[in-house]
Amino acid sequence: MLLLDDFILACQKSNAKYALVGAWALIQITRYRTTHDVDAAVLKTDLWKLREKFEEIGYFYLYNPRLEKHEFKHTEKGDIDVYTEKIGGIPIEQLIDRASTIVLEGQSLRCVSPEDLILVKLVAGRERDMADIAVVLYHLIEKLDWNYLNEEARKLDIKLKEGLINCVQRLPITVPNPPKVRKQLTERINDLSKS
Amino acid sequence: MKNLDDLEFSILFYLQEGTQRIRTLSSLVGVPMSTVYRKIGELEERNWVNVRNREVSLSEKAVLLLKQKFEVVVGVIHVEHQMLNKILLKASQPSGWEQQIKVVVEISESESLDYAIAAETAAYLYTGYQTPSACIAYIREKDKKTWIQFLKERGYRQNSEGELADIVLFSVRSVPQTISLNGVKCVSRKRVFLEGLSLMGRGLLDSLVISKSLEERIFLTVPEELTDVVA
Repeated sequence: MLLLDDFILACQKSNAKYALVGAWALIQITRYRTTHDVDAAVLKTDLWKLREKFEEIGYFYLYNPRLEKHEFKHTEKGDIDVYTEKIGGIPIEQLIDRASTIVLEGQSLRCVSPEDLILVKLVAGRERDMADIAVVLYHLIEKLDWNYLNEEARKLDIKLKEGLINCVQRLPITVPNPPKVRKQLTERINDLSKS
Repeated sequence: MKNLDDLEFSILFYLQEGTQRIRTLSSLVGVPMSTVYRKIGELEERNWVNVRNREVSLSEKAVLLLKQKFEVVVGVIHVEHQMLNKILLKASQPSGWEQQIKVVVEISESESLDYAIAAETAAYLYTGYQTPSACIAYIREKDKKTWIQFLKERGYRQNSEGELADIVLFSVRSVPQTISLNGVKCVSRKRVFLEGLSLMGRGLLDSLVISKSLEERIFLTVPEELTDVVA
């Protein structure tokens, strides 16, 4: 069973409120590349119930104080990383409140909003994060809530415009005419982002 | 699009010193402004430079490559050149990358057409790390029309704007050497490593994973780590 299936089942059984955050959250936009890991926001009050369910199916628990994350590790399957305070400076409650439900192969998943996905990935700033943001922008640039993005970027002290323009350089090879798309997206980012 | 030429290398050389105005570049390399504009346009298309308000700077890809060993940079320029002529195809029904590979292998076997699975698709077959988003492969330039014809017969169409392709074919004069992985012909690990560097983003992550088995080292310009099973 995939890590994602284990996570969803554990949340269902423990009635935990969650929102997927990492590359799995991209699934709401497009079937794109993912690693095996699962990253999720979970309400702090639900953590103990979730921990119980994970331990029943062979995961062991570790707390990483530096990154403030709860790691559920499986020797063969990999890691499920759970955050209960903030991700990239955004409170977990806010991420969960703004999350939406998608259906993937008959299974309901809660994913953070595309705007929050962009913000948490911009703060993380790794290659994989920037590549994922490029895919979100390619699909949704005109549909994003730019007021929310601009306002939250200001609160988080993120250079939104500069960050997004850097991401656009990581468009995947499956995009038709990347130079043209890069140029178009850069122009729109310049128009839409304020900082 | 052709390979990088002397003039483009000269422009990249001067940009290492920092952002330059087009007029300055024109006098540094000793060619008219119109020629510099054209060359800058070509470099921009290949994601080597950024242009803003007539000022040119190295892209993050160029900065990353300048930090690598000479043999790696030469390798990246070589594979990048071979990935320029690409055909993007979309399946009529949503189906996974495994299905696209199956179709490519079937056509190759039934029509005796050569192919080599490359980039993120080959990376996954080698490492099992990041799932690919499409089937990416080299084909021979002379077989291009035949491939398109057989793929169209199987319901594929040319990609439209706003979509991500399901099959990406690079047409080249000669298909790179391959290794069979469970009956699928893939380019070498070394080549996948170079392709990932050329593509940046998640491609760089593929290169990082592959570099472990090649004992290659990538000098990163942004933080990156392998956090799960492979790490």
